[in-house]
Amino acid sequence: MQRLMRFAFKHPYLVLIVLATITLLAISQVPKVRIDASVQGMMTDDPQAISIYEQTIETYGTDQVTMIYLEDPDLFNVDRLTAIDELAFQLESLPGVVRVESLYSVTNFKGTGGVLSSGPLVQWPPEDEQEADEIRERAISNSLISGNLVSANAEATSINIFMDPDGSDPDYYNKLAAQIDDLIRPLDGRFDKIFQLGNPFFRTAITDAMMTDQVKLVPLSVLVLVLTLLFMTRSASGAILPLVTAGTSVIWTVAFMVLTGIPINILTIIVPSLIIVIGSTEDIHLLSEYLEGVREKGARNLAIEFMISKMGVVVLITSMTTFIGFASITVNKIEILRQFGMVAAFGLLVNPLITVLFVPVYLRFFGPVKKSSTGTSVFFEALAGRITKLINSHRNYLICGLMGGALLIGIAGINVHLDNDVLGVFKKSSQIRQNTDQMGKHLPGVQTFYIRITGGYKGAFHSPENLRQIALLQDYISEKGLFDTSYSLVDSLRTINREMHQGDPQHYIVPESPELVSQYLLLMHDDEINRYVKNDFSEVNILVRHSMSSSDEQKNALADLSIFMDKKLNPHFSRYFTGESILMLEGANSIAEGQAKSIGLLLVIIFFIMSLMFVNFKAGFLSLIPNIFPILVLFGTMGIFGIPLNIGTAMVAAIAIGIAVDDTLHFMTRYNREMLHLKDQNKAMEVCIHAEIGPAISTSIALTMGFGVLMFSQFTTIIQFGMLSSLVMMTALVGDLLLTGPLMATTRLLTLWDMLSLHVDPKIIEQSEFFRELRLWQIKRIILMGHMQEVKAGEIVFNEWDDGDSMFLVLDGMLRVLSIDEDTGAEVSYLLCGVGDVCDPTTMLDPGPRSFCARAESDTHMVEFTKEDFHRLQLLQPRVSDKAHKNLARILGHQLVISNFMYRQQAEQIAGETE
Amino acid sequence: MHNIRFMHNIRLTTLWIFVFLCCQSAWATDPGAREIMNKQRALHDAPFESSSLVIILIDRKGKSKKRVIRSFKKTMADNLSRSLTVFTQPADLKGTSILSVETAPSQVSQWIYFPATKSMQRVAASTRTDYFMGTDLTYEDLDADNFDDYKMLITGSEVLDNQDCWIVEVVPANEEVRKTSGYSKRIMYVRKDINFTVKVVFFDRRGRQSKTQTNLDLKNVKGNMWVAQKSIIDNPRKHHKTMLGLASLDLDTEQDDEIFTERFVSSGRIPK
Repeated sequence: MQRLMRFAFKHPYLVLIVLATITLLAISQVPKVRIDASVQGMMTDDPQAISIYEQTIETYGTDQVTMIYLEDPDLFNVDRLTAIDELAFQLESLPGVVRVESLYSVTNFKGTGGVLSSGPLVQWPPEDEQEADEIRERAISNSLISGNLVSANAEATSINIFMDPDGSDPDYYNKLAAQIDDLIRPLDGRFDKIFQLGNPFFRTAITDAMMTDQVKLVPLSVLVLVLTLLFMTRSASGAILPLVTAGTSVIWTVAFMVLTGIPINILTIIVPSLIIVIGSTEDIHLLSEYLEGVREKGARNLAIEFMISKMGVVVLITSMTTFIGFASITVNKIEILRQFGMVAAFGLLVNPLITVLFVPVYLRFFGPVKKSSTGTSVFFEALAGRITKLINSHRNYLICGLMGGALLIGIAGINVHLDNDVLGVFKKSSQIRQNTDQMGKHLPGVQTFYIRITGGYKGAFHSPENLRQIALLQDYISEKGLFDTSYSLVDSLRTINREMHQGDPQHYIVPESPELVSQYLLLMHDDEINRYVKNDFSEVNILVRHSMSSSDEQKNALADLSIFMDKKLNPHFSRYFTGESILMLEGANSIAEGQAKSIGLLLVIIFFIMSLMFVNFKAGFLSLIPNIFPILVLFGTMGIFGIPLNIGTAMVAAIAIGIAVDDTLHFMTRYNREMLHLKDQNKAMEVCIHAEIGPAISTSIALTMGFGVLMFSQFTTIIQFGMLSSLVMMTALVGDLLLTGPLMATTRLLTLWDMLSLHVDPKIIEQSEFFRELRLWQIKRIILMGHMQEVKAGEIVFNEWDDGDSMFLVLDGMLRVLSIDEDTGAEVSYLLCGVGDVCDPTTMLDPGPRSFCARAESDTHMVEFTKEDFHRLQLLQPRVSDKAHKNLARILGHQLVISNFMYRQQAEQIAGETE
Repeated sequence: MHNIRFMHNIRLTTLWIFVFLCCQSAWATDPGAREIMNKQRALHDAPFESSSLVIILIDRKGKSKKRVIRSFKKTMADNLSRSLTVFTQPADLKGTSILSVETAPSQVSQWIYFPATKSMQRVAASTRTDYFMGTDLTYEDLDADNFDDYKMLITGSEVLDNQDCWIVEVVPANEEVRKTSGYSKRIMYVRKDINFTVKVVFFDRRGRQSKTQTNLDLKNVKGNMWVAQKSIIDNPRKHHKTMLGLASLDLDTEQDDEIFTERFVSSGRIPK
């Protein structure tokens, strides 16, 4: 990243041409982007479940149904029945429509006075009101019609349109919904209520809502972002830069969607807003560093170099973590989430690339050079002061309190339930939900699924005994009110049997013999039979209708039904629930699984990245804590307020970690830098908070406001996503400000690039007794634990009797160890410490007054190790510390031998002089 | 007067046209049509007959169900016809019968006998537009029609399977017939050489094509009398087909009048 930024700075025009060319090419692709309002993407991709569904459709026909709801207190009159006839006729002519069920097609079995009649309930529209009343009576007295096609009070009915589109026209459903709308609009005045519900209309409603969202959310995101950034940075650049880089990223991303065939759907629709909001954070951090560079260095070019040197690696890592955050969503089994993960990950991969290329170019020409202290910076300074004071006085209480509180809130997360229902994506106040509720009051819901029960042998469901089990199951559904209604062949058989007995309700039972079952079935058209039983009668198919708008409700009802079936049905029967709503329900389970996978994967990856980056597993662990904190709060909030885990909210945790870890990383990097400079953990932490609080709060507020914009969406899922993401952004900020700091102060951080950039003279490795048997990275690690110092030739490093707790390792140059003779004042030189030698290890091991003086013989580069440094080394790297201590012991041993030798020489010299 | 009956479905259109020929007023405006119908009646109608038919029901996936029926028809002494259709296969349908009795010219009463309950049920007249016994034929297709109720017109000629055919269009003559019929129009293709209907296109009450019947494998059975050994009713609206195969035809053995009675049918016996 540093190289890229420097390259961009040096070659601004080339960079601008390349960026502009790619952007123009991308713009040419933008019009080709496809809109997909289908709900297929919300279904599970489990091959077995899909196979069962496809087999079912293949065997029993389409389950794609749209219903036209008609309600009027005087529904059964000449005018309205004529209108229904005309409408049903026109609907039959629409492309892809395979069947239209209405009062004019539904079969009315009737047995009266030994005469059996069948055929449509209504053949022709009535000619007078008396005939209309007769039709009404026939409708409400037929148990197959009343409560199903006609409401019990005869004030509502539906026209059910079954479709089997060939799939070659991706816009089929939208066109159909529009055609249906054209047919029903003129009837508005003739019925109290008339509207359509069902898959085509859901798609149209989703498309309309997406368009409304796009028109509303993107400009709103931009506006909120600009205002927030202008307020926080008090700089025009702070507003312009993110918009240019994010805008370019959005164009590239849309082109990516075209090239990969990913459509705009109810989730990918929010990616532009996300890129604008999230993508702005790096610009803010870069600008913040640049402005600090201006304050420290003055000149624009120097400030840019300051920014590049400090931010290159950080931008790389934060981009990676954000990218991984979104990419982790692709492990989900739900296609729509995978597509969202891919698109968002791509967008947030190219965004930092565009940022590091464009920002240096922009700043080169337009970078502000005015040193100013804004009102906000004064506020940030004051806030940072309070926070550091709080941390210093109550560090442990703070960590325990925050994490304990988050854990307590997090416990409520066990109440979080799953939801993946198509109706659930719409607001309760939306017209579609209101219409669904209205229909649900009078007629069975528009949502359908099938229960397939396989007997395992031919003719199984010719047997009255087996059919009675189906009847039992349907009666249970009806009596318990699990779903609105169910229909199977058994209903027809029971009705025919009753009518064969002159409508005697006692005979509303399954016929008594297999022969009678077969003989009664002669009264039905073969096609009608085939919709509910397999050709060889080995399997029955029950159609269930409901109006539930939550997966949880459906799941509970299905669980209840399963228990009943396990108890009451022949144990040799196999059974399957299938249908689009079941695939979506199974998708809900995938959401939970995908959520766990995404979060787990993300935390593991972040742990390893941070551990690698800070060359320390503890650092990896510490970096997770401030990010787990908002996740606990997130799930707790969802549990407390009953917000379900759905396709929208399932993304929040993974995205939140991916974004929030950026600030953690900025904090930890800054802390490391300050530690190298200040050598004091608390001071480093304080400086770090003072320096990072501005960008952290700015980015968090920008993100919170940006996500908050999503609350204006038409979709409940996106509103919940926006709301929770905003919450998480603010909680993550609290975690970063109040947890990252105190946690960091418990450790000394090194970064991988510190290690990589440290050059160790090969002579040191060869010559140093202190580093004997240590590997290069261990040597670097030890060196970086100490404090680098440079002294000029002749400078005193320390004096005899100075209090000390450290030793010095010579990296370059030479130190002379000496003392001053008290009597003569002459220098007595003991030792020369060259490259790789350590000077005064005794004082480090046993702090106190130094027993000699050390002076640089030439310009010397050395590392000072304190007793505390060695203690930390022992804690963090016990094996390295062991080796280092052994080497120190050997060095001290050698020095003792030399001292003994010198004493002996001195003693012999004194003895010789005495003799 | 003659009725159209399921047991004679293979010759359905021939007989049906014949019915028209008996009503002068309906086709008086089209002498050509009259001549065709007269000829058809003269050539292809028989006073009594019995046959075995194989019915194959083919669903949307091409899977089939097989039924075998025996059918008997006789013009009684009062010049009104009666027919009996009895299922012989599969075993669980064996004995299920439909008795049709022409009670007056063009007025038919029908009964269904279910051997499993040993009971007979009369079929209401209003059921005529409903499908018959799981097939793509309706009760109406089997009913006798009063010629006065229909208008008929030759609208042209067309070559079908290398055979020149007249195109005869038949529509209800009045509002009452239009309301009780499931069809607004029927178009028949009548072979010019043998005066035999080889194809009928049915249009629903809204004038949309609903199904097509094609008569195939024509066979000269007696003199100038022809029968179709195979008939296919294609019902695209239901993605369903019914195939009728003539297994045997006896035009020489006259049945006892007794077999066309409720008493005989409800006894559960199957005529030979």
